[in-house]
Amino acid sequence: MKSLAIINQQGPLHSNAGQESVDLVLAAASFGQDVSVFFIDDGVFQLLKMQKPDVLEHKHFAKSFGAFEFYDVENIYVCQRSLTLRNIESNQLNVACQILSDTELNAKLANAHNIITLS
Amino acid sequence: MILHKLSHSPYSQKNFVSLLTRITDKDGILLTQDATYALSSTEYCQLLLKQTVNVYALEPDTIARGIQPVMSEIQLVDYAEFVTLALKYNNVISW
Repeated sequence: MKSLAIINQQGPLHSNAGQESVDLVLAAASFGQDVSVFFIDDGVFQLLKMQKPDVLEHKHFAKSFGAFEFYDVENIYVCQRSLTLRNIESNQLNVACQILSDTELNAKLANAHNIITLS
Repeated sequence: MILHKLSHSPYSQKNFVSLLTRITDKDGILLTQDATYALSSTEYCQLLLKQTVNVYALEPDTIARGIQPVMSEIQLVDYAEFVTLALKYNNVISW
């Protein structure tokens, strides 16, 4: 079965890329696709627990990351270097994920059949 | 006396360091939108404060992003204060 990797590299409020990636993950997963989600660079900001985008009347799409497990989406990978550079601790993240080094993350990307980046 | 309004994330703004050279100690800096991510990095805060002590950040944008400021020298302002600031300086540059 072909696998689909989705890469998030922008902050949650930079554009609606974050919302689109969540819709794409849930849609693909509900069709039984083998989906994996990658958070790199500013994309790691989407995972911050403390977000309150409703203050700016933005939808809090990061809440639906919690729904990933009900769609059997367990392959959630986060770039360790991006977290450290932005001094984000793993306990500040709002979803269970694997924090990977660059080599590990690139290896996961390499064996995905289809890769989509949203920016 | 120029107010430099930043709105891009310092981590992904390619010319972040070079735009600092445009800022003199008589100018002001206002962080908005994704530029507020600088508040959670001591390194970026110090880079800004080295140019001028008048560094401000738009508070609603920090709350929306769940940012925990690491330095108190950068003052958080609301929209009304943002307007006052813009009027206080005789010019505003949006980077």
